[in-house]
Amino acid sequence: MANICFEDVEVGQEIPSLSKGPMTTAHIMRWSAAMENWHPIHYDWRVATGHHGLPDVVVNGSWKQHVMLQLVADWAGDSGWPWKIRFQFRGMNVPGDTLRAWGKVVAKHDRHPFGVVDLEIGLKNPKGVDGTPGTASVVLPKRNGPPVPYPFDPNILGEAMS
Amino acid sequence: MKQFSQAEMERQLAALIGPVGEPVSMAVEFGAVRRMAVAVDDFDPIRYDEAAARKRGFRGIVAPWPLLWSYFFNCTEYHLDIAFGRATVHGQDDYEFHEPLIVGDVITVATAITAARLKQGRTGPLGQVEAERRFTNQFGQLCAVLKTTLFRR
Repeated sequence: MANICFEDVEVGQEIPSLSKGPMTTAHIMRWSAAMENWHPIHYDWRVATGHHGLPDVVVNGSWKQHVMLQLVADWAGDSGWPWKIRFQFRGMNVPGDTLRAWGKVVAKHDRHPFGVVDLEIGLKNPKGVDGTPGTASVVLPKRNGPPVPYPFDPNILGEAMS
Repeated sequence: MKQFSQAEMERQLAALIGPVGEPVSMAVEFGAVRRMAVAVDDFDPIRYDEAAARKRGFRGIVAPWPLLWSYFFNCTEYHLDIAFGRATVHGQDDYEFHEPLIVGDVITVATAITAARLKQGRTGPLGQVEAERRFTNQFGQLCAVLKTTLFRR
């Protein structure tokens, strides 16, 4: 896993994307089992389309969150700390969709001796529709600076951030 | 469907604010962590190999963060007592991450409704409810804070 420093990051930079799919009902059921979430909209087509009026069984929101967390954690590397992440649920995803998690640096905050990077993130379906837009804040070390402490304590960033 | 005045709807929402039930505890199980990682093709060795996790500085095998939701489904499911509107929609989640969940930990989750307000939506009154769950481990360390925004319409 690559390690990045605060100085390596530029506003406007896109981070490496992460694709999953095409989604199948097996993906959805594996996640439902892992979560022990047995809501029928995730596995019962008749209930999903009939009672709930959905286009199909739908991909679990928490599955999508995990993929976007994976995107951010992979980029932050071992030396960075994905600190905050926020998602909105604006659209559904269904079997057949290939989903692409993406992220873009939108701000940098110098919090000596560390840095905080804000990202816009999202998860696009094949039509380019972003059903789960969000934001993330990642704490990074500076070049020749101390490592981000583990466990992470936001107080190290000063009052302005914590 | 029964009609409620704005004041009645605001009273219903205000009554929600406060702790929800008692804090509850649950163990972080290896099988649960492994199943969750496999379900998203997350093959990072910290999800199943204790030596690899310790080498990276963790106390043990690290759970994917959405395992937090397992505590929701197993321990803290609750019914929001809102008489107005027809459906409750999950609108937004905000996570804050501190100490990871490690296999063998016992996680305690305390849930509270921290805010509830009436807004005007495009099609009528809209209740906005914010639930906060704070997850701590057996050492008293804060692991995560999960804020969920729900909309009642």
